[in-house]
Amino acid sequence: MGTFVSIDLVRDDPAADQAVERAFEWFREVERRCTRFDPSSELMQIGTIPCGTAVAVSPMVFQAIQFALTVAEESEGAFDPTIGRTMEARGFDREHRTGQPIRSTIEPDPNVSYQDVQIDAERQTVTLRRPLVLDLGAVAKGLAIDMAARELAEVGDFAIDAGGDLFLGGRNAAGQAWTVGIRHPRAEGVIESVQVSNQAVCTSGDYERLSGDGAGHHILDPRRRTTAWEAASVTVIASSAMLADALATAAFVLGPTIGIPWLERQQVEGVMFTSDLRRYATEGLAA
Amino acid sequence: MKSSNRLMALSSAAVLTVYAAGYFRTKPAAARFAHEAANRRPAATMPDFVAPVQAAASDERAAAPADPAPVADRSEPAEPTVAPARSGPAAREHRSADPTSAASLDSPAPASAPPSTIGFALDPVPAAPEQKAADQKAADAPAAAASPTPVVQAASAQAAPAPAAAPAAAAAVAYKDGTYLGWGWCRHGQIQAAVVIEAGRISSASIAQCLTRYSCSWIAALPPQVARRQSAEVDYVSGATDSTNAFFYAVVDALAKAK
Repeated sequence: MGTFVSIDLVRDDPAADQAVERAFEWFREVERRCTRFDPSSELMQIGTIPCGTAVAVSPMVFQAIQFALTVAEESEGAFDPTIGRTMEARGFDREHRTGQPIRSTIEPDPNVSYQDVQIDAERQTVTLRRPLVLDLGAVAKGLAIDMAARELAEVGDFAIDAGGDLFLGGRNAAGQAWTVGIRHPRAEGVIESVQVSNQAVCTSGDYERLSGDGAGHHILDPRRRTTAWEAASVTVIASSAMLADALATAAFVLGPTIGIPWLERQQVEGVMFTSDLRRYATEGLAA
Repeated sequence: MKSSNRLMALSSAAVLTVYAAGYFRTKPAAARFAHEAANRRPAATMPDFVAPVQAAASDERAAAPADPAPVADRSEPAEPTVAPARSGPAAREHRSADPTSAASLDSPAPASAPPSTIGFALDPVPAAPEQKAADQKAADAPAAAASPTPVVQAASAQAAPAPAAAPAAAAAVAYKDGTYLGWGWCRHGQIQAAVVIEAGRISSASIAQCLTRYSCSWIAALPPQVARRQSAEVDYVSGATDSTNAFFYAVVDALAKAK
C-alpha cells in the first residue's frame, strides 16, 4: 500500500541501470492508466461513456480488467473489482450516502457486481452494464511489479518492493533464496519467514494502515457486504505479483476452510492466520 | 470452480501481452537516462577487508546521524584481497522512489497534489528528503567489485556456494574489535544500529536509537540475525520493509567502520 517503490539490486551493475529505469517507468505507466484517483486516467475515462457502450481500451487496461474479472469468477465473487474499496471508503456497510458526487464519479449502484462488466477479447473492449467504478488497485500494482520484474529478468538477483508487495528475483547477496518475514497480524514483529526465489510475495491483512494515519481498514466480503472476519492475514507466494495480490485478497474473504483449498487449486502457496492466530497453510508451507 | 491453471496462465499471458504492447514514453529515453546518470551519486568502493589493524573503537558518530561523506567513484572499485562474508549486502544498490506528493493506486491523492506519478521525478527538481536519504544510503553502502564473492565462514549458517571467480583462500572476515554505530534511513525516519565486534567477528547487533515514525518492534527479530549470519543481510519483512531497509543500512554503516 502506498506509493513507495524500491528496487534493490544485489550487485552494483551499471549495465542494469537502463533496466531499472524501465522498471520504474512501468510503475509510472500503470499508474497513469489505471488509477482511480485521476479523472483523466484511462480507467476513469471508461466511466464517462454511457453504460451499454463498448469502450475500446489499451492492452494494459484490458489485461488488468480481464484478470480482475477472472479472479472474481474463480472466487465466485469473493474478489470483486467493482466493490472493494469504494464501499469501504464510503462506509457502505453502515450507511449508504446519496447525492454526494466525489470527483465527478457516479455514485455506484449498491447492487453492482463484477457481473456488470463485460469484456470482448477480440475487440479489446469493456462494457459497463451499470454505472460503477472499477477498482484495479491490487491488480494494477501487481501488474506493475510483474512488468518491472520482467525488465530485470536479465539482472537476475533483485528485489522489488511496492508498498509491501514484493517480487524477489534470483538469490540474495549470500547466494541463497530470499528470506521474507511475514508481519505478525496482532503483535509486533515477524510471525514467520519464508524462503523464495523468483516469486512474488503479497500479504492481505486487516491491520494494514491507510495513508499512515494509523487507522486500520477492513477487507469487505463483496458477496455479503460485511466485513470478512475470519482471517487476520493471508500471504500468497506465486510466480506473478498480479496473481499473488489478487489471490491473497480473495483468500482473505474466503476464510481458512474454503480459502486454503482454493489456493491449492490455484496452484500457489499461501499461509493464513486467523484472528485467534491459528495457522492454515497450503501443503508447500505446511508447518 | 474452474480449471486451476486458468489464473496462472492468464497472468503470464497478461504480462507478455502488456510487455509486447509497450507504451509511448513522454520523454526521449536517452534524455532521461542522461539526467538520471548525472544526478546519481557514485557508489562507494568495496572496502578492502584484510587482517585486523589495531585501532580504537570508533564512536565518533554516536550522538548524531552521520553526514555521509562524498564517496569514491564507482569506476575504480578496490579489488578485495579477501572477499568479506557480507560482500553481498554491501553491494546491494538500493533505489527507491518516494514521491511524497503523488497519488497511489490504492489511496486518494491529497487535494493539492500535482498530477500523480510513481517513480523518480523526471524533471530536474530537488529530490525529496527521503529520496536524498535513499541516494545517500545507496552511495554509502560499499559497492561490490564486478563479481562479489561471498566468503564461507565456518561458523556462518549461510554457506553460500563460492562462484568460480572466488578467491581460493576463503579466509574469515576480520573486523576490528569494538562497538560501532551506524545510521540508516527510510521514509519513516532513522534507525541507529550498534554492532559489537569481538575476536574479529560480529558478536551482536542492536537497535541503538529508533527514530522512525513507526515502532522498531516490527523488526525486533532482525538484530539477532546479524550475529547469527555474521552479516547485515536480514532480507525483508513483509509489512515493515522500510524499517528493515533502514536497519540494514545502519548495520552496513556500522560495519564499514569496523574494517
